[in-house]
Amino acid sequence: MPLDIDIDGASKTFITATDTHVHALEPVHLKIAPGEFLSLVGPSGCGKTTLLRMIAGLLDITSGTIRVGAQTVTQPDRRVSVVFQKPTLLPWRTILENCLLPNLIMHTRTPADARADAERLLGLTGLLAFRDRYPAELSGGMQQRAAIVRALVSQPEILLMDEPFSALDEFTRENLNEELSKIQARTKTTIVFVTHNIGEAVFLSHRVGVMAPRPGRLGALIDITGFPAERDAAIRKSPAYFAKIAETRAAFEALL
Amino acid sequence: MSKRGNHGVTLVFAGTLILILAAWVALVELEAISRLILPAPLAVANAFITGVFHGVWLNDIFVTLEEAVLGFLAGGIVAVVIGAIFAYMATLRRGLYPFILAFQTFPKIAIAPLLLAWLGYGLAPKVIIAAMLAFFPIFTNTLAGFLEVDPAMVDLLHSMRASPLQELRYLRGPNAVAFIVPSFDVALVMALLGAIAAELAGAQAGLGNVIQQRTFLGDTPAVYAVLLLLALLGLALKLLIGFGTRRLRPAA
Repeated sequence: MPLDIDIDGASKTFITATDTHVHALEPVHLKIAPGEFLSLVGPSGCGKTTLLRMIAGLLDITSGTIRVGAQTVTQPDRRVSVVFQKPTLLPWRTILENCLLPNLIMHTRTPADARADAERLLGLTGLLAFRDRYPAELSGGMQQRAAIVRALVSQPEILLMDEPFSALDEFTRENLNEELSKIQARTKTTIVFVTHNIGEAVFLSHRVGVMAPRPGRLGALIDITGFPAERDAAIRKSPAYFAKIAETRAAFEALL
Repeated sequence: MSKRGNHGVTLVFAGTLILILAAWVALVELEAISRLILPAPLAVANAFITGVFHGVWLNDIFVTLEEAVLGFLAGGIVAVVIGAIFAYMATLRRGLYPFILAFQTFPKIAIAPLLLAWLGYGLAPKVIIAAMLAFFPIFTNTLAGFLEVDPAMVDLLHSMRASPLQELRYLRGPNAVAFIVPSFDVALVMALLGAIAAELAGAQAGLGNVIQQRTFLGDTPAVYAVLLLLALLGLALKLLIGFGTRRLRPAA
């Protein structure tokens, strides 16, 4: 059962060593529907990662509240998986062992179940032949694929992704975008996806949240409709895709 | 590396070895230096064969190795235990840091005569000096191994709500092992250094003792032979520990 997220006036203020208050994020009001794919797009300093980390329960919320399902966020939630900018695979565990780590910690499924699912997902992402390799033996793109598999093995109801493909080359990123869309269309997992790439956000999302810096804030929300649930490469050549990119860009410029 | 590159490395190695030996032979043959200072290579080889292969120094080799290995083990165990405690207790770590720093920068070999006066000429003072020298490389790496964990990995474990024990088992523990194991070879060589230094301060057996006795007797070839033996022992210990811990090193 995918869950909804209700962000009710959540904000973040950091206090620096010299006692100055830095408004990292102005209060955000945003409801994310169950099964929705929402992207947060904006430049560095717009607070997109801050917002994601607050949803994940990894960062204290200064004011306002965030609710995941029926639960108000005060700490990390085991129904929520996070994919970070770096693959963060443990170097001393093989790819398969890395993918099984969440289940070793959370014990949400039987080991056999988790293993079967991990192997199925590794197959789906073209990594089955590499399951007994160590992360250092794989390319950056393959490592990030493994990190996504690891996040999915715990069958999360919400997937939070923090610029997961920003370190990859354009072609690998496009490939992984298509794979991710396929996975989301099938599992109906609610996904919040942080990126600074407008094209990527438009391609993947049902809705794009446009954010701006100084102070960090959520400015506009853009609905992306008319694309098939499983996004394919052809979309990137369609006029509708370019129109949405232009609309997002215009919304961003209006915020500056 | 290319085949040509490998040949180059071999050439440099063999060339340097031949050059040293040739210079040695030349200096001896030309009688440029007294034989009491620089003995003939053949005399050193003879002393080496008598000492090592005829078993004259066998007991001394055993004694020195015993001191070094016991010192390494004692220093290593204490280093890992204290390192782990310090990693988890920040107040203790910060409060005791000045003492640790003082102990680290202190030339520990200097207390060997005092230890001998307290504990006699036996095994104990040598093991203690060896342990003190072996302690630091392992202690520093233990502390770093528990504390210098990728913050993103800590976030990952937090996002799964891992308990502190799980964090130790799956993240900090293995991370520490990856830091600690590579410090073993340095620590073992330091332990050997400590054992020899303590023996030089006073001993009834051991290779340091042989050096001292042979120096008094003016038996320079034997002294050179022991030095050569020590070089080989240090190398052998380093290789042995490298081989023994191969499986514990990170795969990367």
